[in-house]
Amino acid sequence: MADTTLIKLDSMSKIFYTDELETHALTNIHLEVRKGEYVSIGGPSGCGKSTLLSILGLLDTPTSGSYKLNGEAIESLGAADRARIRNREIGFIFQSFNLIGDLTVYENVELPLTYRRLAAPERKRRVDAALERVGMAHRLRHYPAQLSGGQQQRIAVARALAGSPAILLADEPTGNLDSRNGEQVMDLLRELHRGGATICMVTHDPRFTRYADRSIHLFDGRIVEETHERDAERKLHESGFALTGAAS
Amino acid sequence: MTDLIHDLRYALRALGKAKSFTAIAILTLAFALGANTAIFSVISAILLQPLPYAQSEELMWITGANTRWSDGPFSWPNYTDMKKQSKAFAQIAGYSSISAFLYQGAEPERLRGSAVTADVWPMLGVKPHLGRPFTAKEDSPGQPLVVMISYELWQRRFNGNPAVVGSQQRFGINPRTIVGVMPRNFEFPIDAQKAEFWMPLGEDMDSDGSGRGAIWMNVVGRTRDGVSREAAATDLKTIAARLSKQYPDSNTSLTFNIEPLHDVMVREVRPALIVLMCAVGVVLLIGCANVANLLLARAAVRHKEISIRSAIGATRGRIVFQLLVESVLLSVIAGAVGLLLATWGVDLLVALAPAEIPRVDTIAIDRTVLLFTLVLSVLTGIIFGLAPALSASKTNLVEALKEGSRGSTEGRRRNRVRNVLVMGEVALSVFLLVGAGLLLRSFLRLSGVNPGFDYRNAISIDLAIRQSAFPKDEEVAQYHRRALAELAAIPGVTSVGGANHLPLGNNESIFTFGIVGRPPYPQGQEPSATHVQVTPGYFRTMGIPLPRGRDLSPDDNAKAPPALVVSESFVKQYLPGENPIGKQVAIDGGSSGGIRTIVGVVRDIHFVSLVEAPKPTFYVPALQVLTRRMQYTVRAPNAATLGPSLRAAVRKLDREQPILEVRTLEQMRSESLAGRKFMLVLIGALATLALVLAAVGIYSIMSYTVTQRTSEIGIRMSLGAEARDIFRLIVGQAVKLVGIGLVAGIIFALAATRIMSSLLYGITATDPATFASICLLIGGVAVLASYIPASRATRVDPLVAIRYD
Repeated sequence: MADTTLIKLDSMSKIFYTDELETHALTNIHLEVRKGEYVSIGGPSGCGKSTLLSILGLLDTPTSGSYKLNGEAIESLGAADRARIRNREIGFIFQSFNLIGDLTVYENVELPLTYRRLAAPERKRRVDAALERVGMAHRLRHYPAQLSGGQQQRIAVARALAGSPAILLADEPTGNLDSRNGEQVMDLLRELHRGGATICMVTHDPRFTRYADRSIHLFDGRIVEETHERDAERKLHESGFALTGAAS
Repeated sequence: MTDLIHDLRYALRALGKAKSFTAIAILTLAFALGANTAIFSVISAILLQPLPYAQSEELMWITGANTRWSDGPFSWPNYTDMKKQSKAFAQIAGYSSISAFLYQGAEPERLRGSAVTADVWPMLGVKPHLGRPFTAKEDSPGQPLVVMISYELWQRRFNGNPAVVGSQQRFGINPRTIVGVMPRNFEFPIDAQKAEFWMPLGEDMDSDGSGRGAIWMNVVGRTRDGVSREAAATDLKTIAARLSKQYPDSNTSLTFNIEPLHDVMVREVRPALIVLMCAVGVVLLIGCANVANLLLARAAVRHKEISIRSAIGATRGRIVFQLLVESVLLSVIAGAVGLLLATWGVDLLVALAPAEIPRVDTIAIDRTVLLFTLVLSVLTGIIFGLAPALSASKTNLVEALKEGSRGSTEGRRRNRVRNVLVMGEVALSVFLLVGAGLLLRSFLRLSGVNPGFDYRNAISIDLAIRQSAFPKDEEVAQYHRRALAELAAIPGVTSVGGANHLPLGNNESIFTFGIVGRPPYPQGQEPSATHVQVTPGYFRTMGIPLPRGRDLSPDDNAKAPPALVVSESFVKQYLPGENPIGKQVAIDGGSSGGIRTIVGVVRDIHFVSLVEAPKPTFYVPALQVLTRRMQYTVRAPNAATLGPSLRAAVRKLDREQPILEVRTLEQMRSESLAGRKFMLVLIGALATLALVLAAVGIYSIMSYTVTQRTSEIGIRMSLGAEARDIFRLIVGQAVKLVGIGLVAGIIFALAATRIMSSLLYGITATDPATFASICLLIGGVAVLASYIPASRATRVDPLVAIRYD
């Protein structure tokens, strides 16, 4: 049987050192994410969610432990290889969208493909497809500032998709959006997941954890709870949240 | 007023707080303003200040012209006729530069002086400090000999003793009575070398004054009150036409021209000074662009402060005013520092200035210059402060006061002004560097010009044989023979010779001639050639090859048939395709007059200067056509050390022999290039300053860009950009900016460097090699200046950058 593990963290810890202080951001994390899985990472502010996502996204390195992505050990890679993996294997969706203000919608989505040195026609095909997928194909020449927050985040999703990454990492993707736009983005992610995308999402909004196959709860840098979709649904009922149509 | 005082106080405090910004801005502006002040002080003294004479705008330079001369001096008879007949001029005075030895004290001192007509004194309207000016009667033959001296000479040689007026002193061969001492700093004529004494020009002029055909004296006139320049010119033209008709032999097609005296005095240096003023202006603009860039960066930091001021009711105009007070204050402080730098700069300029620049000693930081610096400082403050002030005062209050992150990185549109400034800086630097490059290439070309003689390992001694000691012609000839023998006996000397004028002295004697056996040329259209009197051994000593015929020998003396050596260009122009040896040439006028036979042909040399192409030249034997003025030259491997031996050798012939100068030919060659070297050094220094400022500008905008684009760089890295991609992004931006600046600069330079044409040699103002080199240089500097910011960008931590706001 084929190995379906995409991400494997073993005894991973992250410590931040300052002059006088040693902060244990993550401690002894064991985590496996399978291909096609949708995992949400929750927890209170400062619990280490974003640090974990940064390490998964190769933006940061663990202090100890091992990290394998698609079977490849990440710790020993140099900066250029890490950049290559970020470009090919990972698609980022940030809370604050992080689009580049001077580039048009098209150019923003095309950007990761240019770093892959893809030919222009191939880039165009992929950009068109990604924008089509997020329903923004009609805004090619717009600049980010000319779009609403929800539209900007959809462009950010398209940018993450354009490179056909192995995994989408989303850091509070609805954090800067109103509830309607937030739900639209979550619907989009669910749709992508249904299409086979592997998603790892940080959120502290309990409404959205149920979109995931599996939810991980962090507290003080440790995984303290891991629940699957049905458990999550039950918990949500107990906490008094109503399910929206999109989530049902 | 209260607002202004309040703003000034606040500005001082704000500048005091931002110490690095203030220091960099003041230093940048101080260099630029200092350079402007220094150059303006030169322009003011030379071009702008009126001549130091009463109503100097009425003084006109009068020249004669005919078919041969366009801008020539006067003969004595033409001068006296014109003076008598003119109705438009109140006075017309003549003068001629002279030199004489003052025999006072142990060592005779050679002084520059001027023989002037008595009309000079009322014409200039300057009264002596002591005594009186010489009179019209004293300015005529047969009168007691008189002289006037300068204040500086009076102080230097007579210790400012008033009793010197009325005393007799020996100037040249005769004792003269000093009748007056001119005031301090009096100068006439205004020349590179100041005259220190004035004697009457007319004292040895008989009615003919060496003939109507001999043109040698300069003429200046003062127009009568209310007479326009055009009316004065018409008056003179009428007189010239009359004289032309009256004396057709010597005054063929004669006409007289006038030009304001001031324009004539500065004609030679005006283009160079204008180019210099443009150059320092460009440096100032670059400095302004740099400081404006700094202010824009600072405005970004002060965005919140300005928004708060605006929120509590300050109008946009009020905020702009406050920011302008800051920039003007900065500029005025820089102006004061610049003034200090300029005082040293002026000293340096005066010390380095070549001899051909007139009125150098009047260059000073005076009230006009101070006012210029003040006005320029205030204007500068407004120029560099206005754009940042307008930009900073345009705030969106809601956005500015709101904390929090934005959904996309900030656009670079706000950098547009900064980018334009950097492009402008680059464009201006290109212009200046192209100018410096053109001058450098011209200078190198000129330095590489073969003068036609060997200037290495040769030294000359310049003297005038004393008439009192050697009054007879045969004694002069004998002196030359003995001097050559004494000089040849100096250990190490391999050859010796002499000429009345050595090459590259920036002057020449030109004589007309005819070729025997040819139909005579129409009167006034005779050909002319440079005339030099040379001793035997001259060509060998100077290293001038003699491809045809024979050299002049000691036997070419008064008893031998008159001989002549001509240059190849003489043969090419006047005896083409003929064997010149044995041809006879009739030289006009002077003691060379008569028919001479060509015995040899020498190669061409640059006689007047390296710039002027070799001209047809004839060399006559100095033992046949005697001259008291002689520049003996010796060739020796140790030439540079032989000065004392040369002096000793000539003193053996005459213990009291005054010596004008002892110089190596190498020195003469360097001095002939001094003016161009001076210009090159100045423009080169300004271009270097411009390049440094432009590099700083590029560096600062790229640094600022990296800081501003940190978040974007982080995003790009998170999307997989490698270090090289980021490096390329930043350097690419710099190259793009510089590229646009380069194109603009090249277009600007192509249009503007034409004003430099008169300063160039051997290349055009659009020399492609210079333009290409400057493009490469600027491109290289742009890459270097953006290297550090670009390297810093590659080290951006994407994690931090993404959270960066």
